[in-house]
Amino acid sequence: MNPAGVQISAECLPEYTVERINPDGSEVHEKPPTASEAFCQLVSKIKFQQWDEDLEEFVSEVEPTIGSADEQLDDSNLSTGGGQQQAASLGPANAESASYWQNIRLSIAAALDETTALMDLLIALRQRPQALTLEPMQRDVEKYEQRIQLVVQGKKKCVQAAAEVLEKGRGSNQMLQQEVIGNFELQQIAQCWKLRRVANTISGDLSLRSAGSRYPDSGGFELRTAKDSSFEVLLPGHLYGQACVQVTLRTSSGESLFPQPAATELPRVSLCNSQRLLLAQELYNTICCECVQAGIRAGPDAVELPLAPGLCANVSLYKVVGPEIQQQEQSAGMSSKPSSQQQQQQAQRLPRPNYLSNALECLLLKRHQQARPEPGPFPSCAPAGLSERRREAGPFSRPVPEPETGLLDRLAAICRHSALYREVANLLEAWPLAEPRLVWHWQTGSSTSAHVAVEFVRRSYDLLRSRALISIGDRKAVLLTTCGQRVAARLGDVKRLLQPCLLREADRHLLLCVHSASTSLGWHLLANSSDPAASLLRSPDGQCSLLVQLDSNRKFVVSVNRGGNGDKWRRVQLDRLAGANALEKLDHVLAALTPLSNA
Amino acid sequence: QQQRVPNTEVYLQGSVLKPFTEFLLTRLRGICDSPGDEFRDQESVFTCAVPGLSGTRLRLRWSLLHPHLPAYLRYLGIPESADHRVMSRAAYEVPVFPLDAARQLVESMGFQHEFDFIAEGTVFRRGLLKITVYRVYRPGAHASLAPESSLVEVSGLGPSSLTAGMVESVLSVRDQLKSLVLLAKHDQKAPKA
Repeated sequence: MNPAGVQISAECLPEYTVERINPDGSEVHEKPPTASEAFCQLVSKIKFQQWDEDLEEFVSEVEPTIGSADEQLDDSNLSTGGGQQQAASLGPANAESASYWQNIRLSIAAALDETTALMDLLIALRQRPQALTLEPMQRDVEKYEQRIQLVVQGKKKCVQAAAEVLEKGRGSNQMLQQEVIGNFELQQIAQCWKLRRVANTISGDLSLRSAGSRYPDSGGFELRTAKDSSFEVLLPGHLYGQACVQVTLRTSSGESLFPQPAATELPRVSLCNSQRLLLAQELYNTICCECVQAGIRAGPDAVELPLAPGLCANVSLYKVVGPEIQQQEQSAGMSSKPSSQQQQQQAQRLPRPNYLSNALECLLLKRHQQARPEPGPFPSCAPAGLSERRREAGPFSRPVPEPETGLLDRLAAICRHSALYREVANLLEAWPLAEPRLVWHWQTGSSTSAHVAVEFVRRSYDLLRSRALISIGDRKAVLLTTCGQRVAARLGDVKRLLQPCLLREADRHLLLCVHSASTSLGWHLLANSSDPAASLLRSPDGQCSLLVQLDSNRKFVVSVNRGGNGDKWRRVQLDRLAGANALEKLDHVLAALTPLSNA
Repeated sequence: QQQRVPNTEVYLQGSVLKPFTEFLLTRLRGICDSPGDEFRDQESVFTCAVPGLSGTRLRLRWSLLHPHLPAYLRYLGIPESADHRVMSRAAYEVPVFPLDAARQLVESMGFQHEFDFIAEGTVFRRGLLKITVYRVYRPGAHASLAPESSLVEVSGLGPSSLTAGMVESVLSVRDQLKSLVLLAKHDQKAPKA
């Protein structure tokens, strides 16, 4: 049976009336009456009561002519003498010729009857049309009803046969569709997971062994055919759930360095989540093994790693397995009959993994990758594994691998780097000065190194900028200035050591702005000091000296000496001058003291 | 020791259309031991110019991505149909280094250079088997000879004593890839003009 289509024969209305249907299904049609038969039937209905006399007269007139014609024919045959010969030549022998002529006579008589009847009809129509009635052919009612029933039964039988064909096609199509759906689901699962047939079952593998993992848990699951020909997954009890490993940094006072985003998703059961559960278990087991080797106490769900004085990393395993998920689904209102107790229980939700958790997973996956066999072969036609040359060269043919650092050490390095990163970011965001302001650009190299370029800019139109670079590693943050100064700070000392250096750099930038403004007006720089920040300027004509200082509050103190006399220094009250900031006011002072010839 | 020399190659070939290549690579990453390594090799084919041995060919293949690795000089025999399910042929491979010296050696043996081609794709390993999905280019051409499809080859090279096991492994891989690519025996004769 072709499931794509079923041939159904369409029957038109029968041309002839069905007289009867044989047991083998063949039909016997009633032949329609010929024209003469129909005409005779019609004629039999005509009443010829008043015109019988005319008809008898007509017949009496016609019959003698027919008999005289026969007699003339016989006499002519006898009289001629050669008539016998003629008779013999005309037809067969006497007995046969009589029947022959009788047949001719009967057919002529039949034709005569028809013609006579037609003539009577015409006379009746012409002379007395009111007396002529034509009645329709009366069929036998009982026979007609039987024929109708036979026709209906016949049509029922045909439709029933077509219905059976359609039903068979529908059933096979349904089965095929279910099979296609099942195969499609199996194909979709096979695209993402490793499946293999074991006896009559299909088993799959959730483990990361193909990625190089050596965790002893096989992570196997089964596929079973459901009633509707689809596939359902059977997971082992310890993998029925969801889990994640969360790494948080806390100070000694319990404060978390990074804000934890609130989890909003309820745990769901799926193959991906089961694989993540297996990965989380392997990850936590690896961390615990290394903690035990390092002498750090490890709990069943959490491990505390000391990073620095006052800072520790907390590695926790969050797991929701088995009946707990069903309980949570019910408490979240997913069941049809929620109870009051279930509504009161708060659904335990897994926290969203943060940057440190993702970094830890990447470390584990990288370790799996390193456990892989050698890549290649190169070229592709070469045999797999080490080449003969390498094998024959001995153990020294391979490059010496780097000493493998444990997962715990790398995690500690990443955590320290994250804490340093956070401290430097807080330092830059809490810049206390309005002038100059800071602009910084981050550049992240890896999970344990980052750089930030800091620029001091002025709120004006000039392009004068001073730069500094802060390099953040896993142990310390180093500040480099353009004047060659280098300051390193460890965890907890970033603000104490780097901020004064940045402030000094800001002072230097301010003085640089003053130098730039004075130089553009022709002033000369006589002396410059960075600590305390001060600059001595001389006017172009040499008649005026200007001393610009920055006090402990980062405010400009400007003193003027006219006439070149070093003793009489007069302080300029910048508060009374117009300008948005001190540098603008200083620009006004320089402009006022500059002689006109140099302006 | 002769029994341990790999001298028999068992292989099956097929092709996969471009839209389905990623599905095939995903499936191979799951069933193979290695996650797949990209390769780009160039192969020079030399034909023997000595009368009587004109059908003999030697192939010199080297990696364009790893030029520091040795090249391989290969001899591939006529495909045999000892097993009706897979194709097998005699195959001998020798690592040679450096490349120029190998080329000179082959030419001094009386072989003439016939043609070059570049194979680029991904190679997977599954035990003794190698599964390659690649395209063939002419040197210097940007488009492959068949732009809409890639060639898939499952091959195993080993001594004759391991041929039966390799055949079973090849057939197992063929069955696992059946829904994506049809690996079968192909007639190696050149099409009639």
